[in-house]
Amino acid sequence: MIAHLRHFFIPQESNNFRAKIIHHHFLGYFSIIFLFSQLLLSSLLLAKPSVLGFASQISPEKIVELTNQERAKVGASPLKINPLLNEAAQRKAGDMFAFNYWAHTSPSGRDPWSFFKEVGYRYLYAGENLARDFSSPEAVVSAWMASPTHRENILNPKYQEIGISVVDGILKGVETTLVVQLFGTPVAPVSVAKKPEVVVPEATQVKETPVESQKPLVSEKPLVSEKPLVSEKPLVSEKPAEVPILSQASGKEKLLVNPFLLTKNFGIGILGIIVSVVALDGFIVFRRKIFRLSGRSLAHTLFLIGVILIIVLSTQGEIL
Amino acid sequence: MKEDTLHYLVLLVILNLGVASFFLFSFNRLSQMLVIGALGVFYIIWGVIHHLLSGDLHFKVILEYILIALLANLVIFFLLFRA
Repeated sequence: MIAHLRHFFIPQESNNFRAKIIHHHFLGYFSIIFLFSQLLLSSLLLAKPSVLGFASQISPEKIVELTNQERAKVGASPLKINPLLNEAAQRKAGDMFAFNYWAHTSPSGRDPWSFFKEVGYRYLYAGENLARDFSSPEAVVSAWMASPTHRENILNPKYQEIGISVVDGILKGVETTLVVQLFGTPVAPVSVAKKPEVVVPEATQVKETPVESQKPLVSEKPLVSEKPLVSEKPLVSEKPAEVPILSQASGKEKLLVNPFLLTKNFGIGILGIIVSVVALDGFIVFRRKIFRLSGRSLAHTLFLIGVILIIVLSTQGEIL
Repeated sequence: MKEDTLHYLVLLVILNLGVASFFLFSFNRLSQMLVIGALGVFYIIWGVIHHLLSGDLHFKVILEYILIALLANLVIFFLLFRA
């Protein structure tokens, strides 16, 4: 048994002075095993989407708190939670799950501002940040802050109110946690002015450059009270979107198998074994001054350590 | 030996640039995939040049670099796909 292990892990005569598991065909086997495991995982995702997925630990209140902390750092006033914006965010998340899309504008052309209108939130300024599959509220806000356009939305002093929705559901066959963050400044506080400056977000531009375009465009036209403040473009449907049965994330972890973490841990395991054996192999060959025709163990070790570092530091989650 | 040190310094610089670029393009999956693909190709090219200059270039040796780069790329590509 020990002789067998030595044959696989220690360079010696039986393995031509190169640990067996770093021979060419074994390196090939590792790639095939990894590929096969991923195919299996993908098949499981298709067959049992409710078992594999992402478990959320995100609480909406924490996101608001972290957002206001970031605003405080630049001297912007804290945002107040508006129930209407919360409702609009909830509907937006529901729409994304119902129509199976991950975008600011739905495949049928429904823009973010229609949800503001739907819940009766009349605004001067409005903005939207989206995130999915993050493991914590800190990670969500950090990712937004790392993106200039999302950061601009978070720190924009023109915004007064916020609405957040964290919703679990199945998107494109995978259990997903969506975070919808809506910003707004209601019409009411400035309505005393006879001709206030009306800002109408241009929804069609959102599709191309989502966050950048959420910067409100300034219109010279005065506010006409009878007309809605949102774009005049017709909505796909005036009726509220059919919101599927969704569960509002509670902020508690659920027992799910996360495909990202499975892939990450399996990858680290395989590469970790290889780099350990390569490093040991290089050390023994160097000490015993064995000459052989092979790649440089030191180069392989450095390269694999770099790759493992990338894998370890990789985080899940996407923002839009 | 001095030549080897220079080769390894070049490799370290390439690896550092690769890792830094990967995180510079955080949340941009396509750019990250391109960075990882380029890193794998650079690693193979480094192996070819290093062994060519060392006088022990052989197909068997280059195949080893290709297999290691391929496995590393596979793992990171799938990780980005699942992220």
